[in-house]
Amino acid sequence: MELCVRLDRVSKRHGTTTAVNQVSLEIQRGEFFSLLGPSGSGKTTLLRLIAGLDFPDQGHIYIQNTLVNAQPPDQRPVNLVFQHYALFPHLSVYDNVAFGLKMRRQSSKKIQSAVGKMLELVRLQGKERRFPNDLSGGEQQRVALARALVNEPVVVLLDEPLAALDQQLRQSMHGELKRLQQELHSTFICVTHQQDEALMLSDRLAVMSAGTVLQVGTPQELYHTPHSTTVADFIGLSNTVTGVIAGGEGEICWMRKEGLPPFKVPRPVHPISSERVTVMIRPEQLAIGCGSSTSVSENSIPGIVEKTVFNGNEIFCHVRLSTDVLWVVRMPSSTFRTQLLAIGQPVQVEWLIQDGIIFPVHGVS
Amino acid sequence: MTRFPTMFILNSVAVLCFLYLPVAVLIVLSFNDSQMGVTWQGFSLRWYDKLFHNPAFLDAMINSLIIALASTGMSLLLGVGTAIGMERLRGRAVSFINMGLVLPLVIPEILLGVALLMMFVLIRMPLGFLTIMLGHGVFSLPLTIVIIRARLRKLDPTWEDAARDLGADSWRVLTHVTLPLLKPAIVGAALLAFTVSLDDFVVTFFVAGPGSTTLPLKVFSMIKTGMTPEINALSALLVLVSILGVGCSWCYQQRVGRYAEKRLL
Repeated sequence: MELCVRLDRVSKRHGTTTAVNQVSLEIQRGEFFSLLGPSGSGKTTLLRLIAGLDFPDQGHIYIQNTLVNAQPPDQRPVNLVFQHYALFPHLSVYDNVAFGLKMRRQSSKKIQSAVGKMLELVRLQGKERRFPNDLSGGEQQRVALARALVNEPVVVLLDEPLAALDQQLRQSMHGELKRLQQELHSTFICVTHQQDEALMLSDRLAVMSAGTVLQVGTPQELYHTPHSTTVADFIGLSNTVTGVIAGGEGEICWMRKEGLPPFKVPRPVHPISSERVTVMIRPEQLAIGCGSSTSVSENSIPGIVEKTVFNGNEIFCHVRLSTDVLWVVRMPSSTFRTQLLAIGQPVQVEWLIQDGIIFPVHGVS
Repeated sequence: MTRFPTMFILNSVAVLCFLYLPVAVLIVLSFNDSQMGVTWQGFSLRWYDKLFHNPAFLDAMINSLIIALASTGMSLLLGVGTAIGMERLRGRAVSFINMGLVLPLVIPEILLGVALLMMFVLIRMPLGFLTIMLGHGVFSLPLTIVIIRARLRKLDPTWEDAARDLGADSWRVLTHVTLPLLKPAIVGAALLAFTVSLDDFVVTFFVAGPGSTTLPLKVFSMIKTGMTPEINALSALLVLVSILGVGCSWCYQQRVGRYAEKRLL
């Protein structure tokens, strides 16, 4: 794999706050890479640093093995799709898309054919003479994409590309984005705070929080083997409980927690100094059972149904296990199940031992 | 309850009459056939005809146009630059400059005229076209800057970021994005500066020299030799041009300005 963008301990301060703190990342050529994090986690700043609209206080940025720290944005082989698109309102769709090529002084013949091809690719042919204000949100989004892609940048940067679109449009643009990226074999770096979007689109993604990168990996890695509870919480729903490891044989340990019967968890891979650990289980890995047929590879804990949330294809059943432990069980919906899960109903929550993920608890007395 | 609106409507009608009746009387009388006074003797265009065959009036008109165009050009050139420069500044410097800019608009004009005259005499600058043009610049420049800054503040800075990202250097960001987006404000400011210069009497009176009589000065000197219907015609023309200028400025900013204000999406 060819390295496309490399960030080496990059930091950027805005006044007294550190927006980006010692971030190192390597992004391969042809990759769809996402930066996922809550707002204020520094992901947009990182994008602007790569685009050259901001300059790092510390660290190095390489694009295709060239140090670009001091290069102004007009000289970088990078184009940014802005969050609110920033289409030029005084220029037509055609002139918006042609802007970059004109700035690079291409011949008008070349511009014409390149813009025509690009508008076809984003399915906007026939709208060349329209102005941005006359377009729908989805059309504006596609003009913004075309305006960046027509320059054939080494990297396309996308800042919350779908945030301004409604739910339905967003779904169809998911496919569109992925299709464009694959057809053009280009590298996309996408900033988003929508975890489902990041999981669906990305080849790899980085989870950011407070200016630092917490974990980098494929969507599967991040979902199934998060390195911390912060990552786990940010990607998907999670049920956690904190307790003490208390002996056990081989790969399996017992875990104790006040108010709960002891249950089994996988032995931590890395030796954990403190005995206190947090175990995390995804809601879809839990099941509601009757407790009679549990095998040795399963845990079963009694609880009481507190409420159920029905969203059409799924039921989220909130089960109280003890005074301070409330877990969510996610299951496909059916009338039969709904009838069983009356509020106040005692149930058994069951899961495979191997589905529990163990995190050390930091800073505990 | 229902009586209040009626009262307010009457009130606003009264205010409009108060504001425009004198001007309306003046315009009506400019079409009066009568040689003297205010008695109506029938419709006539002869005062306009006489005016346009009066070489002194034509000279004054040409002088006024030259000065208005020149001072407008100067205000735009310096004003756009200052406004853009001020956007880049931060903190105290801006509020200080802001105050300094508005001051010429509130200083009594007669004071401004005297001060300018003293300065021109001090530096031995001959009074004439150049001094009038500079004098008009003193109030049309702040006007221009205020109008352009207002628009500039509403412009989304990401438009400039986008242009830079697409390969524009700072000069082409200015010519391809910032200035076109400022166009409504620039046109509006130009029309206003032009009108203000065309109308100005006080400052012009102090800093004018021989051979640089403008239209308002001409009106004043004609009054000294007696109130003639010709003055009515000339004044009516001035009013018309001023209303047109300010009106066009306002309409243009309203119509074209909308796209820059409306944030995309």
